[in-house]
This record gives sequence, C-alpha cells and structure tokens, in this order.
Amino acid sequence: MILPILGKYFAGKRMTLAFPKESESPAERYRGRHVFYIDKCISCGTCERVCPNKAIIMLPHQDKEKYPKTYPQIDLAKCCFCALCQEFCPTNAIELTTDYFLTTFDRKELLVKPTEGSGEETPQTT
Amino acid sequence: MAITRTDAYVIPFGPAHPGSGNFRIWLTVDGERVIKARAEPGFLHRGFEKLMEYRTLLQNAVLADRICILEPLSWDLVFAMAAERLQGIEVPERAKYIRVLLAELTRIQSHLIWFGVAGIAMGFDTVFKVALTWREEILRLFEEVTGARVYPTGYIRPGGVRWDLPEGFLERAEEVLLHMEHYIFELNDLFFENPSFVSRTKGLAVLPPEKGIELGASGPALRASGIPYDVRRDDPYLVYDRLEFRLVSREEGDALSRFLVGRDEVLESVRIGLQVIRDMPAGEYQVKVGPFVKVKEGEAYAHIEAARGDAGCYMVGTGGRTPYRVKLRGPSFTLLIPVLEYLLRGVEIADVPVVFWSLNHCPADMDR
Repeated sequence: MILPILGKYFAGKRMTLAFPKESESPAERYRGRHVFYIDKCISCGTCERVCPNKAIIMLPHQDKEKYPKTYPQIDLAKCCFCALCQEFCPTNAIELTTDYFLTTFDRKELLVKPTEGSGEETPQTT
Repeated sequence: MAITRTDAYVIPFGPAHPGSGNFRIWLTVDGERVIKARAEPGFLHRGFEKLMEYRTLLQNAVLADRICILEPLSWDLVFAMAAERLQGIEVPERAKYIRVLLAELTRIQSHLIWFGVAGIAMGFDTVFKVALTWREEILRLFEEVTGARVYPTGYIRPGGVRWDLPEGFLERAEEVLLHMEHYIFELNDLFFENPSFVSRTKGLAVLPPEKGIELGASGPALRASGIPYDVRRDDPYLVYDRLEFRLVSREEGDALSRFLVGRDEVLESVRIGLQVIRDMPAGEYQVKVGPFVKVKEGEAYAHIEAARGDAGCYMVGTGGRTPYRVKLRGPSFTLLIPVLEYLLRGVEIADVPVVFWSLNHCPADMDR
C-alpha cells in the first residue's frame, strides 16, 4: 500500500529548491517591499489614514529645502502588506514590488527610503 | 501485593502547539481512562472584536482573514457579507461566483490540512506529508489570485472582490479540482480505509444527535451525527441555491464518520467548484467602496458554512467610520469547549489526540 506511493515520490521530480542559489519567483500579484517615489508624492496623508497597522507615519524630510512638506515613512516591521496604500494613493507614489527578501540584522533597514524620480525607470529598491 | 485503590490525577494536554494547537485541556484520569476533561481556552486570544471597533470597513476586511489561519477566505467572506447587509450593497454576479469558487477551494485545503494533522496525531506521518503537498496546489492558485499564499489581506471585501481573476485562472483551477478528486481516492487507501486507522476511530467518542444540538455543534461534526444541517442549503447565500450538491451526512456519530463526512465533502466541493467554473459570468467584479465610508446605522448578521461549521458575524453601526460593535461566531468555540469536554469523558489517554483532531476545529477561530 505504501510502497507504490513511496516509489512514485522517490522517482518523481524533486520538490525542494537549494535555497540561496535558486529561489522561486512569486506570483505577479505578490506584495513585497514598497517603493516610495518621493517626487510624485503630494503629501495628502491618505496612505497614513488608510493603513490598518499604522505602519505609515507622515514625517518631515531631512532636506527641508528640496522637500518642505511631510512624507510617509513606511515601517516594514509593522506592515501587513495589504497594499491599501498603493490602491488609494492618488498619484501612485507608493508601489509594492515582488521582492520578498526582507530579512535584515538592522531594524532601521526596514524603513523604506524614498526613491527620487518618477518611477518610469526601473525601480531601485534599497 | 495487589493494588486495591488508585487515585485520580490531573494531566494537561497542550498548550504546546503540534499536538494541541495553542489550547489546553486538563484531563482528570483514573488509570488510563479520562473521567473528566476541562478545556482551557485563551492562549490565542487576539481580541478581534475589539480591534474591529477601531478600524474602517476596508481595514477590517484586511484584519478579518487573520481570524482563522486555515481558512482565511471564509472569514473574509462572512465579514464582507455582514458589512454589505448593513450598508445595503448589492454585489455583482461575477463577484458572487468568484467568492463561491474561492470558498470551496478554501474548504478543500482546510479539510486536507485537517486530515494531515489528524494523521500525524495517530502516527500516519505520510498522510501529513502528502496532504500538505496537495494543499500546496491550492495555495498556488490563491497566490495567483490574491497575491499571497495564506493571508489574502482582504481579497474578498465589502463590495465584491478586490481584483478580477487572472488570465487562464479558471482552466488551472479546474485542473487542480480534478487533481483533488483523484487525491482523495489516493488518500482512501492510505488513510480512510486503512485498517489501522479504521480500528482506531470506529466507535470512538460517539456524539449523539440530540447532544450535538444541545451543545451547539455544527459543520462536519454535527453532520456525522445524522443531522444534515448546512448553511449552504438551509439559509442559502451567494449563489448556492443555484448549484447542485449533495449534503453529506452519516448516522454513526463516531470519530471515523466525522472523517468520512469530511472526505465526501471534499468531493462535493469539487463538484460545486466545477459548476461555478462552468457558469462563471463575465462583468463587473466589485462595487467601489471608499476607504473611509461611513458605517450606516443599524445592525446586520450574516453567516456562512465555513469548513468547520456555522461561522457568523454580527455588526452594529452608528453612523461613524468604524463599526460600533462586531461579534464573531466561531464554529470551533462550541466544538472545542462543550463538545470536546463531553466526548473526552470515558476515552483512553492515547485516544485523546484522535478525538481532539476528529472534530475539525481551529483554536485560532475559537479564541478569536
């Protein structure tokens, strides 16, 4: 009874991947690390209010000359990756990529750094 | 020297996770036999009912799938249905069909994990491995539609569903459903008709029908006791009244019949899924609901047949942006506390995990 099943899976295709060398690409709709295009942002604060986990807070930028308003700071440690911020952003300034390698030794790296530019070029994730 | 008298003593079952799922039962045993069982819930309490009072409807839809780890889409569905009843939203036809398809896929994967974990409780490790491998096929479908394997983060939400089905999804879903039918037959040999499984579960922990109703059981556990109660038929929602399916029930009420009801339900779910794929209409998949929409004054209740039984959501609104009160009815609550305490009386210690897992429960939706 058990031998045919064992034989089938023994002779069949390998089901696991040698992880660091190869990894599976997620589905198209997978929601991973955010990209925040600061030049598109109009500082409306919708993302802050729509976030269910309060992972987004509006903070002033360090470079006050160039960016005088407040901008969302996304904390991936609190984020549940629901993509409501992406959905309701009026200017598409927040986008979720399919990058799921979020493990880090430093908590501060989980704060999404703003990306300059409009996002038409390939997104640079940090 | 003969031992003339033994004292009853108390042993805990749980709350270490693999055997009991964040849940503890205090068993008073006399020798090998359990004479009294007392359930101790609360290890997984996260306070959803209170959390939902602080979130808007769309944020709550994201939260709702966290209620039960094994069937998040069912909980999304029941929350969305309660919110729609309160708001008076009519869902487009295509969204209803998508919801039924996903709800049935959720039921199949939840039952597979039930069989798998029950297998591991009885020493059938192969069943666990193969059932979880097969479940992976459904999780891949979920990832394609919702963007995540387990937590859809509010895919089914007030107003319909969040995105339309991807290109070619129905063909792939049909293929997976047909695979599931085949797998269940394969599992017959391995598990359901395996003599060592049958002899272990036959006649064990019988739940009489009147006791099942009195203690509030629902789902496969009640249907195995000869009461064919199913919300899909008795209070049809979405498009279940247009679909053809057989209501599985058995008379025996023992642990074996509970598993067999679960097995036959998977086959019925496959039938429902194939009908839905055949009849899937084109058109809109959602009605736009704003992120900060006001919850209307009034109250609403919706319930569905989740994989574990009758899951309900009661919502009161007072015109604010968040619901005033949300009450969730988890089917596992009645299964795990009164029913389990009743069933464990008189069984042997070695059979406790078998009885425990024969109920198809989820400690997460019991504690909420």
